Amino acid sequence: MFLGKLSRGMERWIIRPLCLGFSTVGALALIGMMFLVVIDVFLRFVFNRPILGSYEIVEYLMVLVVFLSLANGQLSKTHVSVEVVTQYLRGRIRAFFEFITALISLGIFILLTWGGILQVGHVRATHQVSQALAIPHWPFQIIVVLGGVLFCLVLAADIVAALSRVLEK
Amino acid sequence: MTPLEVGIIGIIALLLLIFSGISVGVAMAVVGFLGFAYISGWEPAMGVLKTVPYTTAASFVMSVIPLFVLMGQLAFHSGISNDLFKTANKWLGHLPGGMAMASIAASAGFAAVCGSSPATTATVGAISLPEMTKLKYNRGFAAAAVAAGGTLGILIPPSNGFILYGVIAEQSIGKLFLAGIIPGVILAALYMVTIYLVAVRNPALAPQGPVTPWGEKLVSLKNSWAMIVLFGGIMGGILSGVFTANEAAAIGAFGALLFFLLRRKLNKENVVACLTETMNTSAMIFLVLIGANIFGYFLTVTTLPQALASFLASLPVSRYVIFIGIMTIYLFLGCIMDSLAMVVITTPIFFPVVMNLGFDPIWYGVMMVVAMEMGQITPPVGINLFVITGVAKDVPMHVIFRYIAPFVVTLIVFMFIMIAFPQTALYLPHLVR
Amino acid sequence: GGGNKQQATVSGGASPQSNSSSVINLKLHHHEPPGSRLNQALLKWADMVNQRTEGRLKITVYPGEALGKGKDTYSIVTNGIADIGWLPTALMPGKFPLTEVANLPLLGINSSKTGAKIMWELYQTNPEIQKEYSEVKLLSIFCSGYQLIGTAKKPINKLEDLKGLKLRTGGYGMTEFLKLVGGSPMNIPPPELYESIEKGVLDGFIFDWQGINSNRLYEVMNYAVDVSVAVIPQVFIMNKQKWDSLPPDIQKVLDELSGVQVAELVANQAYDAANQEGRDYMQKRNKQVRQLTSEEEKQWQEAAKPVWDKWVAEQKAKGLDGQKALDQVLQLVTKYKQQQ
Ligand code: NA
Ligand code: NA
Repeated sequence: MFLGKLSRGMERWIIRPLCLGFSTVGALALIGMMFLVVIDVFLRFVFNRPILGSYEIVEYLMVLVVFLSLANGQLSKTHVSVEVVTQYLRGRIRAFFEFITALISLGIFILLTWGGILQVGHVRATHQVSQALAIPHWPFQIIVVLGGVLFCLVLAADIVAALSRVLEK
Repeated sequence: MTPLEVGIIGIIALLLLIFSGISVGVAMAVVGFLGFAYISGWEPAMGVLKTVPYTTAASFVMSVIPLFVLMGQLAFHSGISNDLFKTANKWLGHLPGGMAMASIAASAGFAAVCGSSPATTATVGAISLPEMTKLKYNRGFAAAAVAAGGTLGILIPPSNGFILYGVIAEQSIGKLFLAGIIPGVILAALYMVTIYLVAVRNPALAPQGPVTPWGEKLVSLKNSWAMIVLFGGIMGGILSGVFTANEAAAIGAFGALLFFLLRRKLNKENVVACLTETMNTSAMIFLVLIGANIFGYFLTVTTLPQALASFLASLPVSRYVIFIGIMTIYLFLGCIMDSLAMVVITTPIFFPVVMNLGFDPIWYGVMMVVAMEMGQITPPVGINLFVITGVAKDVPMHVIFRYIAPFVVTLIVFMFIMIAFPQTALYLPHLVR
Repeated sequence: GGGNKQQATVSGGASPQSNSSSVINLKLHHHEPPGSRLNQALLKWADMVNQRTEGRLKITVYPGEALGKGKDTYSIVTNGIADIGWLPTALMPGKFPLTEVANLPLLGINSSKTGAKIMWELYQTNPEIQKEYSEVKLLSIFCSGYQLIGTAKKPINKLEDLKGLKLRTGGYGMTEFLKLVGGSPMNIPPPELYESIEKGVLDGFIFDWQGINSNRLYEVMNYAVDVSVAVIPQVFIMNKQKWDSLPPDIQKVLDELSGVQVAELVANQAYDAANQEGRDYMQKRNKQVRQLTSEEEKQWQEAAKPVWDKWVAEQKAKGLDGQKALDQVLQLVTKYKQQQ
């Protein structure tokens, strides 16, 4: 009972708004990317003057597009999985499977996020920048961490929800 | 345990995890990470986790995926894809599987502007699946047809597959592109025949519409102008050198946005639906790609692909038997790993063998792309299958697995046709020599 | 290259028999394709190491990004994903600021072999540059083949002809030089150059012969100005802990076979050999390869000097002595030119 409430509360008050916000920023990055390339092509074709560094800006924007949308995909269950076996499972056994798989997912995402944090330190310490415009690399490495943390939160709520169903009478 | 044994255990573990219902990308990341840690140690495995996610995402070439997905969504929500498929339905709807055939034609057309199979699948899926659903097509069958059609993305130029092979095997990318054209058309036709046969055997999968009179058919053409302008603009822009194939995605999304605005579809509901779909589909593709890369680096250190290849190269049998053996290995490897990674790892081993057997390097490039296409639609790890599941939300993956089988068989038949008639691939490249 | 694909295997070929319990296995990562000249050179080096250690040290070469992307090479080595890595410094802008002095335009480094000698001596004599490699064991330092200008439609008859041209560039030196003379630098990945030039998205490129040959760009370029616009420094690095764990006698062999040894091997086999090959491809197709006169070369160098000054000022802002490194390189260029 308590666990069910906890997971619903987490989802409603913390996770859903964060996922929505992250996804919105990611979508804006995607739209910005589209306009950047269109303007670059236009300037190059009409004025023979491409935008210097458009290439690397797209690369950085891709980091926003991907890592700010990953968690929302987990929340809305659009990440791809194969349900050929689990479709036959019902009730508590199914909940148990969901509990285990979410736990495994959380494990790898904690490691991935931790690795991301270490990498922020590394790219800062080594002063890595982009080639043409010398834009620092590390803020975009932080985006990986933010996306990872939110993904972990979604998984944690999934775990609590599955656990509450496993323990249900 | 030797790395080879770890590799085999890793593959079994991957299959078990995937069938336990965990996301496929996560399953590949978990097995890849643990396997890498077992062989090389924790620190290198953490190194993989530190670098691979960022580098997979931060790629200009990969930016075509979310942008083409966005284009597909904008085209769908502005109604221009609906118009195109209404026209297609008037022309082909009365045939068994006619609309699925139309989606193959759309894939072939789109493949001519896009070098990536997942992007082709996502775009054509976004515009054609809803239309087929309206016509009461079986969703699994429709999704499988689009996933198969998506493989044309790397056979019909431009093609990331040919670029990759051309760089690894040092072959002319221009010639490889030419080599893909005729086989691409043949494969599209074969897919259509497959759809026809399946639909004739099981009419419930693809309900036939009424025959439309010729006058109405011709009149309907004018409704499809928007999509023709969009496709024509992208094609023309690439062919005339206004923009590159990679930039085409942004131009296409922008063009679709203009139609979206011109048709007054700009409202909150449409924008939210469009962007939510785009972001979720992109996230889904990239989680799989990240997992596939991690798993791929693990397979590299297991030396499993190399071992398989050297075993085959050592067999004392006819060159065609060895060649078919190589293709069988690709069929197997393609089931469990990302097809681009598969070709990167194995080409250095197979290429010299195949050249020694006296096969043509350009023709072999086409065969490599066919092998990649097979990998993209064979379960359990097939990027096109994942993408189409993302687009066709309520269709479970295993249902698509069931309907993809005839298309995999078609690819195998196509492979034998290519072996029997290599000139289909080589005719155009030889013209320019 | 065409005829060297037969050796394009991952492992390093025949090796002497040895007691398997004492064999040390190392992984060498690089991002060039398996059939590339660089891969051939590194396979050869791996073989030499294997022979000289009597089979006790086996280096497996992983080409073509099989263990990770080229951009991640430094992390791949420091994290031990691979033990040894080959890395053009331009792939990691900002990490090796003073090493990149050799990337400045029109310094006059016109072969990879000379470049290798210059880089090695520069490294030996400049402690600030040595500090850039404190986290790794630097096995060797050298540079790419010289980066020349190739164009599809417009011949470059004089410096001013570069104005308004869209050229692919791949590093600080070339990019800044092109900007300075009024051209538009574009960053397009090598596999896409062929199509971009064929279709006219790009007017041409600044690239080395090795890259031109392996991407078959001589098919789409009609004019070349055979001038060294710049070279790209490259480093050959090893995981430090792994190095420390090696027995002293094996360290000694590796040291002997590294440094100038491997630098010259790569320079000769991967880059300088490609130069003549590329010119031959062009000649066979009746395409123009123009040399600069020595006056022209001086004029181009003068035109490039503002980039040198800009770079020195940028280093100063970071608290680094760029002027000293630049002076050293210029002295070394003169020294090795006289020896030629
Ligand atoms: Na294509
Ligand atoms: Na597959």
